[in-house]
Amino acid sequence: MSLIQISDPLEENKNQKKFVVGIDLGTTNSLICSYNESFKIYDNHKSDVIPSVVRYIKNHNPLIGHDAIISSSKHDTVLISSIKRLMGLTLDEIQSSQISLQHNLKIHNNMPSIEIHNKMINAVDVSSEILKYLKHIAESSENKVLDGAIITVPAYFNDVQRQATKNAAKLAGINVIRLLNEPTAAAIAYGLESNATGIYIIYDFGGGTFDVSILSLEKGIFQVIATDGDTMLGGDDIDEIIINWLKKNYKILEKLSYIELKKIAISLKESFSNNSNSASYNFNEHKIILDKNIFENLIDKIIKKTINIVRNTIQESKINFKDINNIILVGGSTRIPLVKSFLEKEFNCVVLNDIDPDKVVVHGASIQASILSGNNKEDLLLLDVLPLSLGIETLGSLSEKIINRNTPIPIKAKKVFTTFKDGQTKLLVHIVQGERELIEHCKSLGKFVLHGIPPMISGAPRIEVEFQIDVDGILSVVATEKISGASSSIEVKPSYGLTESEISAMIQDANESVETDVKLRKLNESKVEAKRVIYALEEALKKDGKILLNTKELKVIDKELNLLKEKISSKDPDLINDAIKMLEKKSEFYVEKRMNSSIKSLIAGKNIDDIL
Amino acid sequence: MNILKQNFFELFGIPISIEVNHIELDKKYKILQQQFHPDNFSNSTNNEKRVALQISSQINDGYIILSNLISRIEYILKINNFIQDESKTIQDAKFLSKQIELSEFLESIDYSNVNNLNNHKLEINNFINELTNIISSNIIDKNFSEAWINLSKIKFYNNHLNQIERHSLS
Repeated sequence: MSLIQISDPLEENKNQKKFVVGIDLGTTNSLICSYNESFKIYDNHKSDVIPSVVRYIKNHNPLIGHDAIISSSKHDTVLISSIKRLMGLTLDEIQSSQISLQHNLKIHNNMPSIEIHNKMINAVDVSSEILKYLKHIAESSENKVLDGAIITVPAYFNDVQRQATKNAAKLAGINVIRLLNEPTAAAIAYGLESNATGIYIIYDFGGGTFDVSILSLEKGIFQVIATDGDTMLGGDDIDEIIINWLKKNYKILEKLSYIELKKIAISLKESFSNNSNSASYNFNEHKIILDKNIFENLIDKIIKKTINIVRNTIQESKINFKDINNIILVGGSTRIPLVKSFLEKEFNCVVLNDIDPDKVVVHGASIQASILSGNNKEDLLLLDVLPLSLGIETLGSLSEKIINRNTPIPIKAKKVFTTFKDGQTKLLVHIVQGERELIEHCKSLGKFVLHGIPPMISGAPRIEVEFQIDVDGILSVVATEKISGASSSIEVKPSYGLTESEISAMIQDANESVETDVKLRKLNESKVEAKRVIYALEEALKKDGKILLNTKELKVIDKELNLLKEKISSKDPDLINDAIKMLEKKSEFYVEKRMNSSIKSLIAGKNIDDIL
Repeated sequence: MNILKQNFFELFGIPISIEVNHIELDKKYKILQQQFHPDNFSNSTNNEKRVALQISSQINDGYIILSNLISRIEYILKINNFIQDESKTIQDAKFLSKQIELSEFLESIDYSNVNNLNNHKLEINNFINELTNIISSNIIDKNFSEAWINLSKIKFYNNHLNQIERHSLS
């Protein structure tokens, strides 16, 4: 009689492919796509792109995408579009921008919000509705629960806009593997398919934002050299110009609503995508005609603005124009023929648009998702940069730069602060992002107060503040007080947007689920995490535990490992989490030792020719 | 040996020197990031993620510092435990007159005369190269204070070039 073989559940999980996707959360349209040898874009209406539109209906769940647009019920509904333009902005920033608003904004919980059916809704809420919908159509198509997603953002998004995007995903119950810059995602889609090498310019002109990135591509390595852009420049601005032209030239349209005017403008604009010489639109027996010449005159200024940004980025990156291999077009607005001809004339190189400019970003994101999740074993290294300089406020309301833009990320910078007055026990640190000299022209990321400085004469205390930018381009700050040998660290979360607990509260709120449900999920997550930690550590110990650790060190780790194994059957997620944290703390030196030993074997004593 | 405590030359496995082979530096940089970039650890434990983030940041920091001449020299002085006295000024009459001459040049500069401008830039770059060679021997002689003075001169020339660059752009 043979024994029944049962595989180790963890081993089995390892071989199972994870369900991961790329999400392009666009101003006008959004896409969700998975990659498994081929691309699979999820949609409900056979059009691939999902309009980034949310219709709030009284006493009903909101409708998203095509459903929101075609919905016949106009009564008691509010339609929200182009929400991405408002992500991470303050009320002042919105009011001083060129964005035309259809709704009245008020401040609620520190964020600009609009009141819809007696509820205050902000940009993060609206974005999370779109993300929830995307998740839903992908999950129901695969009949699987989504494990994680890579969400793309404009390269030129600042820290606040990135945080806001991550918060929206959290609110939608999506595990964000990583944020990925849109031009970089496009480069992956092009680069991996064609094995391209050399210098590439990604020209990404979307519905609401313009981005340019210069990348150096070689086999499996995508290095961003420089990036620049304008988060307030896109197809929306072109529509705006056409709308103004329509109002001026066709008195019959005067009484139309903004949304109806926008529909005509978009229809006219899109007619030029197939190189026609004039566009027309029939409106109540009237024919509205827009000539190509007039159209190109209208948008000339906008296109030139993008070309100038590209030219400055090239010059700043110290690259010769002649070294540029190709320009890659990304984003729906590059369908306007004038864009391509302008670029060809200006930079005298081949302009590529073979991959659908609407899909190239989501393709790249889905490839990256499949690689980072371990589904796809392809070698890929992405070296991205910080898009905007990080600074702190100094005397005279000036910004002192501590990390310059186009610095490769992740990156860390330290700054030592001291007191201005004798006996001062508090210190205010104001962090800003942007290139301008004056604080008021930069984006305020947050202010925090360092408390508990021992009273000393001015200039004596030394408070070291560490600024860490992670791979998503998001900042975290740790302050250490270095007086009289006693150093204490505090984690500082910038004060903008939402705090961790506010997000959890919102998630609970949104789900309206019974408390036990939430607890069960939490317990489950803790158990999975505990198993992962145990597995990883045991595997590592098997490999090199005896080489790198002495008996005493092995005992310490063994003890914590066994404690966690005991706690794993507990019903209290906090107990499990505490045990995980303890084990992690006690084994951190071992992880460092392992990495150190791998770096030694990587570089030490080797000639460069032996390695390559 | 601890990566986070190694100096950047050790980290990149290259000799401590003012001159670096940029092609080699680039290659080593990519090899290191291929190993330690946090993206390689997206399925790892939080501990490993944290350490990878630190090491990857360190590699980027080292890459930036070693890639640039001025920060590279400053770094060599730093690992030799040389602490400069910021209040010290350069007492060099010849250099002072050069500074005045260049400041006047900036005011009367004709940006349309490209040939003239390029020759001028070439001349300044030659000054920088000469100074770099002198600093090299300063460091061999462990004469760090002299190296620091010569570095200040390079910084001045570099600022001068940056100012010209900024004007040409606008």
